[in-house]
Amino acid sequence: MIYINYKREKLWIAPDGKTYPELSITGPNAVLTDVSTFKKINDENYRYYSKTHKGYFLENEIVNDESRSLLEALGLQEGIIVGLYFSNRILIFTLVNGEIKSRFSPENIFSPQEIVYPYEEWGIPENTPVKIYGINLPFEELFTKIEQTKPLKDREKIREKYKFIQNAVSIAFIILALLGWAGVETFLSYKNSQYKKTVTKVNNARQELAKEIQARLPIYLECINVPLDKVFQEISFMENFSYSSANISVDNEQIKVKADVNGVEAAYMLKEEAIKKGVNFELNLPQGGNSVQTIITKDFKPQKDFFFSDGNKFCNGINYYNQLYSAKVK
Amino acid sequence: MPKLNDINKINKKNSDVKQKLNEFENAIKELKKYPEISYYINSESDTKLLIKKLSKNFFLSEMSQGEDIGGKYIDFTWQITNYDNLKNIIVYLESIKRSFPICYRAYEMSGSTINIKGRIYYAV
Repeated sequence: MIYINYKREKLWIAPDGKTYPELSITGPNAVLTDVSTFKKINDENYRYYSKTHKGYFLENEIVNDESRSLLEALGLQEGIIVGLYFSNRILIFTLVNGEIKSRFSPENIFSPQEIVYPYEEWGIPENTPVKIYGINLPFEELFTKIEQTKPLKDREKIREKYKFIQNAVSIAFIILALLGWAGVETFLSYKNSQYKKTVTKVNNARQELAKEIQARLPIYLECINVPLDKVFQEISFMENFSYSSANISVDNEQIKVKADVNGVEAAYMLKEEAIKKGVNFELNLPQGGNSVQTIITKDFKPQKDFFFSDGNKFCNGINYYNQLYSAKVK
Repeated sequence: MPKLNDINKINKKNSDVKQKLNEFENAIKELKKYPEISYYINSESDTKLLIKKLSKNFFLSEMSQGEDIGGKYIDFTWQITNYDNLKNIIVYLESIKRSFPICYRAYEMSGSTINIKGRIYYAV
């Protein structure tokens, strides 16, 4: 069907060329209204449109979702006159520099020879090709063309559809974000539980390490012991001298002696003895008086009484074992 | 990206603690290679009594408790003011080590006072 609401006339055209003032229809149809237009660019002011390779057919009124543009179905383009002949009337169009030119005759055309084409008025040559359904093309073919033409798109419906998709995408995004968040939380929870299990294992290993040391406590004690008898062996060279005062301090690494020797000569003799023993010796000669201050330092790494052959290796590892045992793991 | 930071933090913590566990396991494996040594160890109260008993010839100036990889211990300081027979005392102190889980940590002589810092382990 063709619906025309054009130049103050409203009518329906059936495939047999007959016209009706009102018609109830379903299915494909073509519309032509006073606001039909053709533009090179999309115009948001028109609710209905169809896009062709040459531009946009725009409408503001359609019959139903199956409505097509009559101009598009006719094949409106530059350099050709298109149209239809029905009920002794002629309705013709052409496109001149993007502008639609039209002519809708009264019911007084009884043969094609009576048609007067407005070449001069439209500014087109007289040899412009003419394709008029009902004259040089079968009228039924127009209805086939109408069916083959794509329906006009409804901007509102597209907007609604787009809005629906947008909402669906937003919801999907929220669901994905929630899933992602839940995934991360689960991952963190799993990692935390793994961490706690390993911390428990470390604490158990700490106890086991201590147990292994305690099973060998005598050698551990030997490792950290400062053997008093060996201290005196190390500084025995000092025994034959007399001192006005003496300070001795010993730990597991060094012996330090600060002593005041009676007499400069004795101090030098002490120094000689010290050098023989490979001891670091300092002499501070007095400003007056007979006493000489001596400072003796000696690395103290006494031979230990080991319980097994590689006891020295065991002792060398003690500091590391202690550090490992004391390291905090939360 | 706070969550990414959390993931990085927990991954780092996991990696550190696993490395620590590995160190412990290697240390235990290494220690097991050495033979175990049997020894006699007193209870806490008996150990305290022992320190006081051994201190008969010295002045017990300090006593404190602690714990390390060797177990629970009591740190003490014996003070000697008369060291005419110091060598004999030292021989005596060294001999104590054969009977008890005791070790000496430092020796300090200042003027006429000698401080011997010791440590003795007790059974829990």
